[in-house]
Amino acid sequence: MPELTLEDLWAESGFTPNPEQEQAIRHIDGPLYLTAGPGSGKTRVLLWRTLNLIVFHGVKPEHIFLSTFTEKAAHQLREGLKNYLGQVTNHTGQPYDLANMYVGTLHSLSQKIIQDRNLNPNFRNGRPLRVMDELETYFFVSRRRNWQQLIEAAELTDLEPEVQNHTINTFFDANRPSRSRHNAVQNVLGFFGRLSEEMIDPQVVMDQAPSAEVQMLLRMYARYRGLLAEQAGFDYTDFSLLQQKAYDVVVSNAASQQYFRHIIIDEYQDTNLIQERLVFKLAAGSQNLCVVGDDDQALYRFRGATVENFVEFPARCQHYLQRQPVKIPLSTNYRSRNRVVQFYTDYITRHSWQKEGRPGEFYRVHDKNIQPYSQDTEPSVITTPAGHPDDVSAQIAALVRELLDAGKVDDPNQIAFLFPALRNSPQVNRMRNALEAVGLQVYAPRAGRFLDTDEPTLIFGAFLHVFGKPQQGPFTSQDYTEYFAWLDRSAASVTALFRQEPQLKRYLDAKRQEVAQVVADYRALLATCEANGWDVTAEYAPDQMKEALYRTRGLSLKAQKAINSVALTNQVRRRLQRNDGDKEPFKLGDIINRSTALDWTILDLFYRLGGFPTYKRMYDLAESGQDEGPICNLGLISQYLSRFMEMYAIVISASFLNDDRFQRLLFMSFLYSIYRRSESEFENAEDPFPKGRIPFLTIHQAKGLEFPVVVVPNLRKDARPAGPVEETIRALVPSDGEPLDRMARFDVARMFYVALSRAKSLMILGRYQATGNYINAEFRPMLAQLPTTATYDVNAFQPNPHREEKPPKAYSYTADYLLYERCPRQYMVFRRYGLVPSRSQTQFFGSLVHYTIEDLHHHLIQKRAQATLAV
Amino acid sequence: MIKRTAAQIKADLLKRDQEIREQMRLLALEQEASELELLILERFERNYETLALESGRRISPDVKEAALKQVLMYWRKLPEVATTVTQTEVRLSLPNQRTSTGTVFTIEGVVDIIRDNDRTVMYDIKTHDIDSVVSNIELYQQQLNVYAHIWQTLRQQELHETCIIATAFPKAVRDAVTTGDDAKIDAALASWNPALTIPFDQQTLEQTIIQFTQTVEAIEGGQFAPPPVSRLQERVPGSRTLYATRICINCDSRFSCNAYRAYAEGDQTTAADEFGFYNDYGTAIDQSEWLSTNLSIAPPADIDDLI
Repeated sequence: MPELTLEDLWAESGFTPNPEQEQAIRHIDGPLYLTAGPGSGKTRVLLWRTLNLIVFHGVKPEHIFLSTFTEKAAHQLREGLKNYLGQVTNHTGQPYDLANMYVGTLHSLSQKIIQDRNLNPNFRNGRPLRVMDELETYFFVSRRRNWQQLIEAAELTDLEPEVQNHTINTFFDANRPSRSRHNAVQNVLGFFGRLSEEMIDPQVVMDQAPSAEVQMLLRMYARYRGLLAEQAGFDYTDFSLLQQKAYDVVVSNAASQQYFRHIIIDEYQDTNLIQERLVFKLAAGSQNLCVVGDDDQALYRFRGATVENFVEFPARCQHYLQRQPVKIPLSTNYRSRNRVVQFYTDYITRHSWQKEGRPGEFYRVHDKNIQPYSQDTEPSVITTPAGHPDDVSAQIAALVRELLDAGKVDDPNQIAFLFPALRNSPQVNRMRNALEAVGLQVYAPRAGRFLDTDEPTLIFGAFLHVFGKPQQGPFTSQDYTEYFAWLDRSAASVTALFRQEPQLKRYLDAKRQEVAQVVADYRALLATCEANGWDVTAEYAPDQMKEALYRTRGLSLKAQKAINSVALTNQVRRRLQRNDGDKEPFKLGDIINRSTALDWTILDLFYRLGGFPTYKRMYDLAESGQDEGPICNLGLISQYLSRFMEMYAIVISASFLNDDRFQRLLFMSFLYSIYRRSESEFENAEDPFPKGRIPFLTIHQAKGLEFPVVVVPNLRKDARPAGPVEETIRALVPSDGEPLDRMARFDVARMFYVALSRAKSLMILGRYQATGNYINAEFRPMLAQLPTTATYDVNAFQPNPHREEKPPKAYSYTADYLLYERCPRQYMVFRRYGLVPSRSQTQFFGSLVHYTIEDLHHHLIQKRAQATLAV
Repeated sequence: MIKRTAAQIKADLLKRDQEIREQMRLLALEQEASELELLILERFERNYETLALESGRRISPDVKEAALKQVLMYWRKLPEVATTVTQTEVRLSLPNQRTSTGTVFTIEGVVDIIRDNDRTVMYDIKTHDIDSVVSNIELYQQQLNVYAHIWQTLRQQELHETCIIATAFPKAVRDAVTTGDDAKIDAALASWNPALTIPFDQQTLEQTIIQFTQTVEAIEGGQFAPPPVSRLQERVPGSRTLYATRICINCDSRFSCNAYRAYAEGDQTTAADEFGFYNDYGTAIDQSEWLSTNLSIAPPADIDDLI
């Protein structure tokens, strides 16, 4: 058999790389600097480059470190690699195992580094690592006990709580400082994150702090890190500090700096300082560091990203690795039609990127020379006639309707509307109204609070009927009032159904009755204990206690049955005789809890609501393929409910329900926090946007995506001056990065660049011109030259013929085919839309058995390999 | 007494020595086996904790116990398989499949491989019982045919046998356990063979791939209607339970499912109670076990700290 080559594989998968792509794929030695313009086939290059390393240069997958910006991107890369490597295996018989390869975000890979015995030999000796995500970190800091500690560190204990919050919030928003703890927590957490990412040690910089307020915040940060360290059981860390931990591991184990033979970092323009330090450390041995990115698409300054990491990469390479990288520009845009490419290239070069007083130097990789692959000259960028936003919106809506009616796009989800921001924007509402006026529905995951959408309102409205509404306190803050208005609205939305659906009312009443009953039983049983002088923490002695409990006055039949049940009696006996493993005998309190617990969990209730017409429709719409929006939202609700159960308790016992403890925890802590944090709607990892609706996205959400048609109705975004956080960070760690007074303009330019480079075939731009409504200055001369929607003929619409072949999707024989064969609907609910099952014993069981048998096999294989080696 | 010859003594000594050696060998084997059982216990607990952390759920003690038994019995019944596996979790993929609309996809599966000097056997481990495998033999045959095809045709590797290992206790063992009679249990266990050779036959391969492709088309085309109610009323092949009581009862989305609702309407057992349909949380024993497991996690004591 002739030797397999890269060309063979390319031919087989229909890929013809251009010279730059090929050069990048074949580059294997030393640092590599890939500047990748929009739609330039970057992902393919990464895939093939990695494959080339593994297949043709003998690099083991576990010695490759490949990081991406999202877990979704990592998943796609892994799937793509598996597919191409599968092809290779079919030719050569050589199998490849990616199980131990480092593919993921820098966060998840940091975690992997810390827990990998090859890189961190001491891992098992310490406490297990516990990484808190943003929501958990928020709950951690907002706990009263913890927050109190931060307030002490801030030396604000003498003040009233509202004044404490006000003092903290004044630093972040001097004009309109809020008095709420929630805002104070959010503010300090944002600041803490930046400090961690900039590797700032609060003790070291304390003396450089520009003000007493900054010193106060630094003390709070120090206390926060102290709190994390003090937690019992686990080694707690947040997302930002996780990377510092990984860095410390790599610094302290010289061998780990030699471990990876190739380090590949995608979206490098969005990395921050600690991430830069980490990747250069990992590359210290091999020097094979490949970074890929586009500074023009840098969007994440607010999360600490420093685009200089990318722009100044050659200098940083020189500094850390003492050599220059090979620079390869990927500059051919395959995604978009000619005029689209020309338009956004023109746009970005209308800004000045010159460094002051340093001629020939730029805050941008300025020599990109982006070229369109498509050479057609047909109009593919059009604008509305200049006018009032109402007219502009109507024009756009009419054209979109026409495109759909003419069958130019398959589904409304192929037409994306991109906005600088979706929240509280009159322009967004205008556009939505205009589309709805022509019968089109919108899907706007970040336009409002998730909890304000129909599905959570109806689900939690039903929960309010069952568990009761919390009492409104005498507080007048806007959040609090709005939240109670939401609770009222939710409850009312369900009450409104009762006339049509009397059965729903009877069901919720019955559940409410169950809740009241278990609480009454609980209190009655406690009274019996008290009358007999029994302590509930004492061991349960059935001979003396059972009869009295059973005969408790007013006890429900259900509780009586539970106390007397054969199953419980047997279990009590087994535990008393120590026949039940090492489990302690029951306490009296355990028996009371068991006899007065609800039969169902909040997830059980959630799924049972699905039986009533209004809720059932949410499932039916997905099943019939008409609208995926509702079930996507159900998926997210189920995840939140599951999260609540994970954090607090699975079973709802009467002791939990008593004194409204459960109700307050669910509504006044958990949901209230989600409400105030404005958590957004579900975003499907596989198919980005539900069918049947027009997606309204923020430009940030659209990063990395492409659509046949893109509409940018509002081309105005004002550059705001750098905020107190950025100013403080600069003061604490001086750098020669972008000047604070130009930063915001750069960021606006980059943001619009991302928006303008998403369209494949047609881009429609709004041209506001009315009192108080205008477009950014750079756009004015550009739009004046474009054809308008008034003269555009939809029949002239041509899809961009170039189709970027996505890496194929893998379908598993058991997890997809057999599951679907068993029940397509079950497949849909749990596998496709990710609803969290309530009592998933089967799945848990199967995984447990399989993992353990795999472990056994692994062990035996290793043992044999060692024995063979010994011989 | 002293008249034994030197040869006799020597023979006796040799015999004793052999006996001791044999005993030591057995002891060593036993020790190794129990060490491995300890390893299984340790890994099992670790996996349980990991899964519990990942899913935020726990399974009731009896179910957990049953899972552990399955693994231990696999090891005790088929040590010759476990100790000779040469590759575990082998990922097989059949790339470049195409749907009628031109979507390219890959078929994937995971198996274990045993390669002895001259024989290669492919194993697929299932957590079902052998009776249900036998009754659904076609399904497994199709699956292993696809895997065998990838292995032989695409990878050009030899394959002599394909085999299913079904780790769940078969009915005979379960019945024996309910009698509580140790002798009966031992007998049932002894006559249980969890491994089943599946003949592979390339004839059905094409048909299976066509079916698989149709399924992918249906998934991508968004066809998610449940099976007809008539199927819910059928018995699951290889078992005495109905589809509805086996599959649906474990599915949380049954309450919103047209097929299951139609089935339940025809079922008289719930008619007495208006909400009997909804108040179904498994048997009393299931529910009791579920409570025992999950009540051990106490709700937070200080709610005010969290608000």
